[in-house]
Order: sequence, then structure tokens, then C-alpha cells
Amino acid sequence: MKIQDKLNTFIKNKGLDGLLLFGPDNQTYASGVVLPFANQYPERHSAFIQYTGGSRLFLVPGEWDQAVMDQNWVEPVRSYDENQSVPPSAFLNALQDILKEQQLTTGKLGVDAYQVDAALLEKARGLFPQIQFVEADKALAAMRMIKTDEEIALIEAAGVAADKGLIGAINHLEGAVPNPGYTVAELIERIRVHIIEHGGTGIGFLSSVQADKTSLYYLPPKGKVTSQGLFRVNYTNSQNGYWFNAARMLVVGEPTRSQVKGKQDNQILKNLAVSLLKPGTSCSSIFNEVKQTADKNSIKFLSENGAGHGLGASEIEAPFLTADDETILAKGMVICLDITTFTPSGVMIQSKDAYEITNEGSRLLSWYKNWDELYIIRGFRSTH
Amino acid sequence: MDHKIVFNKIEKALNASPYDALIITGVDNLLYFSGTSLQNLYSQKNQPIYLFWKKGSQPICICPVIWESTLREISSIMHFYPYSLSADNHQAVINNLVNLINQETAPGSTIGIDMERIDSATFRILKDWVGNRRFSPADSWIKTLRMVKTSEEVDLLKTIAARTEHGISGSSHHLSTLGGKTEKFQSEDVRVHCMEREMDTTGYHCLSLVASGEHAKKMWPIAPRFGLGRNKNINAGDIVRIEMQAVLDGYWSNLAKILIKGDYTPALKDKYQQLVQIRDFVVKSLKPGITCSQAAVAVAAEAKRQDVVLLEGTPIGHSIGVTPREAPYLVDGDDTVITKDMWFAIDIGMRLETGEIFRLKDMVWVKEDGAEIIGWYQNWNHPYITAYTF
Repeated sequence: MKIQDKLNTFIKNKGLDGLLLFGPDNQTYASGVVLPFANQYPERHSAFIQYTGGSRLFLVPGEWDQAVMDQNWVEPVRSYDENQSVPPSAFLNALQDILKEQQLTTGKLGVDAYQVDAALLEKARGLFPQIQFVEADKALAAMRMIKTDEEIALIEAAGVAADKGLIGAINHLEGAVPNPGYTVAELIERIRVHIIEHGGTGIGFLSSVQADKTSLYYLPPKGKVTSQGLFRVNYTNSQNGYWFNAARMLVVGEPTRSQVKGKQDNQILKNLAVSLLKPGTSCSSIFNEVKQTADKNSIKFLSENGAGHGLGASEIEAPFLTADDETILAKGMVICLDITTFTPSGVMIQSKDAYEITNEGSRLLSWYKNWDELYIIRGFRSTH
Repeated sequence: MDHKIVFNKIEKALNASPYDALIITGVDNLLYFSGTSLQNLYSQKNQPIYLFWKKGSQPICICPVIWESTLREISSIMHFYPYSLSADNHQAVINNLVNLINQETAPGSTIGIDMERIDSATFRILKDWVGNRRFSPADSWIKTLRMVKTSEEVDLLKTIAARTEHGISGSSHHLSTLGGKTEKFQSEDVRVHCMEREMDTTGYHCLSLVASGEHAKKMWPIAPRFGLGRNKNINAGDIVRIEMQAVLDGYWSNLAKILIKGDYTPALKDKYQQLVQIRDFVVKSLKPGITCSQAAVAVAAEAKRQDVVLLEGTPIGHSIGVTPREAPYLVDGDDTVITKDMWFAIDIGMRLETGEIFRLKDMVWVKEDGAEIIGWYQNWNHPYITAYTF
């Protein structure tokens, strides 16, 4: 079923008169359109509206309307003039006009209430006292869990671009580590560039934690790539608004037994989780089995971080492989396994991959390269 | 930048405020209050991070367990309420907030919240669960704090403006009239030149947009590849718009410049000079004591007097700090009084008859006697015109 039809069914089944979506990820899901860094501008408001019957509309700042239309959006786009007043006045004025035109001044509108600020929704309630704004976040998240073939294809493309991006970057790094010293900033920028060169359409999180700081999840990109030992890269990238969420472990020079063991321990848990990814299994049971196996084998598993999550129009979304998520895996879900462990010396090990849940089990979407072992960087010949 | 001075400023303001405690929400506020640069948090909304700050105490951070050690390392926060990830992390945050409110404040206390940042659902639950406290909007209070920069923030923004400007200039020298180069290549050159000046360009809205020729006619060409560039060659005669946003220690630059590949015709020169005149008028208008609205109205009138049609729908500027675009806004209706040590990214654009967008963005520091553009490596009263060859 197409997403537009899914949303129509959603509106009908929930007894709504329409959906008013503020969250950029929900907007991308509903429309296929990506807005320019909408998450990053909390005072620039946009809305996606779908009415009963299926007609749809975008409301965006004037600077963004062309970007919407250029993404094959053929339905109406309304823009507001940011010169009109301080945010969110112009946005609300335009929204008021639209809802009046559509005679949607009464009834029930589903909203993503975790993605709209309290002041804005309060003002909207004041403008439309007859409209009941119904919180639809959880139901929307549940609907988004089952992907269409097109969505899965985009996540797969993002996963492949992510691997190609990293490989391109480390191919430049190999042979160049010791002298004059490759910077962390250059390494992660090269990941970004190579993802773009392989067709990626958006880059998000970029991080590499190195040397004696590898127990940490994140550090700003300062200093040089370590000349010896483990390091981790974490990054996210998107393909037309659909995200992959990557973490990979690398080592400069010959790995020690302890480092190899640390990665193998993580892989034991990951392999177990992969074997459990099949329709009918609950998310919590996967988490519990991973945790029990970690305990049994004395593997330092950061259980507080769960064991994975969904991927889609956002980098982290439902379902969640956590102790309390009773979601039953079903065909069409996409799970990013995110198992965090520590080596005895405290290095945080992460190795993320994405899997589509199929009829029989799962299919690896980030298949371009196998990262089950540490990636070893050797050499000292030249810079390139 | 040593965040301690900003931290002390916030602490002093909180002590003098009507709030018994603050709940800090919104990634930009969190970055401002904690002195971190975690640009990824904007896109990971279902793993929220909040601060709870009781008057006279130290702030307490509610965050996922995995973030605690990082935040201890890179922020000024010392106290944490970490939560384990679950199917409903918002609920985990709310539980922690409720505990903190009950432990740290008395019934009847006033708790300030930025209503323009806390999400509607969380706020509704919080109100229901802690009905005996008064939640008071702290939006304006926080904005006012953020608008006026400390001397350390001023110094940092000067550095940021200069390095980004230098990055744009440096990369421009790698483009020649006869040489072939794609927008992607040039876009990357701009980033790399900023990185070489130790700017941080990681992630999301660290933008390096290079739009030439037909692409320069659009605000966001090749959507959804925003600011990535692709295979279009920058051709002789092209007007090239370069926009760059980068970050350093959590604070942002936001600049746009024009480059002409080849022939700078008298007609183009006239248009560019119109833009320069309006830009200069904006800078002159930004005087302490007048409101943003008054400045915006005056600029609009001046543009009309000069018969210059500015880009429709795009404000002539906004403030800048821990985000590349924030309050106050240079728009009709923003009654914020301009004061010393505010910073603005002024944004003057027009559309040429041939369709390209001419756009100049500069970073401006408001001093006691008026405003000044900061960070020019080269004289942008003229566009960059490529060397014939190299």
C-alpha cells in the first residue's frame, strides 16, 4: 500500500478529519519531500496537511517552496513571508487561512504533539477553539514501522553509500597515518565527501572517537588520528530523507589479542541478535536474550543503550530493541542493530548494521562490506 | 571559548529571575546552557536531553546513559540523571523531571520553561503530573540572555566570522575563468578551506552551498542535496553564489558571497553596488536604542527609495550565536531593542533580471556607537572575480 493510502486509512480509522504534521521526519514520510535542515531551525515552522479524502498540502517558509516543488511534489505548496513578523506569527496566519479555506475549523486533527512546541500548539488552539488536536505520535510511529519496498530500497541505498563513504575515506587514510598526521576532522569530512560521491543526498552525525577517549560515545573532531590502537567512527547519512545509522571499529597497526577479543565479544551478541530477527519475535525478547548471553559470557554489554532500533525517515525510530518494547517484528520492518559493548580496557565497541525483516528472517541492507572483524589500517608511505 | 563566563552570566540571571527553577529544553538552549556542540541532537528527538536548574544550585542533566560520560567530558555539567533507553524515552525524561521537581522545589514554586522549545505532549503530561507547581514561560527571558553576547562570545564570533570569510576567499582563489570545476568540487573546497582554519563542519546544517548559473536562480538548488553540489560545471560567465555556515565551539557563522566567473559587466556592477548600498544602510541602521522593527522598516523604505527590490519573504537579518539563525529578527514586528554586543547575520538579496539570486550575508557586531561588519579578509564591496587562469 502506498504511504498516501496508508495515511488515508489512518485518518479514517482514527476518526480524524485530517493530519497536521509538524515533525520534519513525519513530513518526509508523508510526502517524500525533504526540507532543508528543518530539524535544525526550531523557529522556522512548516506543516504538512492531509485531509480526509487524500488531498495534501505543504506550508513552508518562502525560502523553501521551490525546494519542495523540485522534489516532484505536484500538489499545493503554500509559503509564508518571514518578513511579516516574528516567528511563528506569519506561519500561524497562513495556517489559519488554509484551514479556513478547507473548512477545517471544526473537527479532529491528528498532530505529532512531540514534534510541535507547546507555545505554537497553544496558539493554534486559541485560533481554532472548535478543532480538537489529537496526539497521534505513537500511532504514526507504529504505522511507520512497516516500510514499503520503496522505503526499504532507500535505506538500503543509504547503507551501501555509508559503507562506500567509509571505505573511500579510509583508503585515503591508509598509508598516511604517522606522518605528517591525519586529522580527525579530515577523516570524517572524507567520509562525508565519499558518501556524497556515491550518491548520498544528506549527511548527519559525523564523529570519530580516538586513542584514550574511546570509552566515550562522542567527541568533537579535534586532534589527529591515532597512530596506534582502536578507534570508532559514528555517522548517519540519508538517501532522499531515509537514514542509515553507522558505527564501525578500526584499528591502526596490528590489533592486540584483547582488542580482537573485544570486537569478537560484540560480534557474538550481534550474531545472536541477527539470528533472532524474524517475524513473530518480540523486540524485548531479542534484547533479553542478548543481555542474558552477555551476562553468561561476561561480556560488558551496555544494556542501558538497548540493542537496536528502527530506521526510516529518522535516524532512530520505533521499534526499539529494549526491555520494555513488546512490538512483534513483522515483515517490512527495518532494524538497525546497535549493540554497545566494552573491551576489558574500556574501549566502547559498536558495529551497526541494518536489516529488513523478511518472511523467513532478515536481510542485511548494509551489505557492501563485511565489518565483522576489526578493520586494520597499516602503512606509513605517503599522504594522499 | 571558556564557557564558564557564559555559565556565570546565566547563573547570575537565574538568581535574579522570578523562577525558582528552570527546565531547559530545545537543543539550542541546551547547547547554550551547557557549552557543548552536539549538532546531532536536533535529529535524534526521541532520545531527548533536558537540563533542570534550581536557583542557587548546579544544573542537572537528564540524558541517555550513553551520553553521560561524553557530557561530563565536554560540557560544564557535573550532575546527571541518566536514563536507560526504552520504547518511550519521553516518558523516561518526564519521570526524571517530575522526581527532580518534587525533590528540589516546594509546592507553589515557579518553574520557568521555554514554551517555544518544550514539545506540546511533554508539557501536557508535566502539567498533569506536577499540578502544584506554576510553570511560567521563560521564552523571552532565555532569548534575552542569548541575544546579548559576553566578551568571550564576542571574541569567538569575531574569530568565526573571520575564519569562515577567509575560507570562502581562500577557496575562491582555486577557481579560474578558464578552469573547469564542478559545483560539488567548489562546495567541498569552501568547506575544506574553513576546516583548514579549524572551523568544524560536521554534520547537517554545516552548509557549503555553491550555486552557479541556472542553479543560482534557486535558493535551494538540486533538492534534496542541500548544499552538496553535484555535477554541474561552473561555466565562464556564471554568477556564483557561495553560502557557508560552520561552527566553532558550538557557535555559528552564516555568510553568503558572490563570485563572478569571468565577465563582470557594467550591468552586474550596478546591481552589485545597489546591494552594497542597501547592506551599508542596514549596518548604519543597527544602532543601540532602536528596535529591530524600526531598522527593518527603515531599510525597506530605503530600498524603495533606491528602487531596489529585495528578495521577497527573506528577512534582512537575524541574530546568530549557538544557532546560525535565531532571535531577534530584523523584521517588522520584532520590537526587540538593539543593544551593544548583539550580533546579526545581515542578509541582503535581490533577484537579477536574468533570474540569479544576488545575496550578501555578513556577520555584524553591534557596538556602543553602531554596528560593524566583522571578518572581512577581502573587500566585499566588490564580488570576487576569478583570475583568468592559473
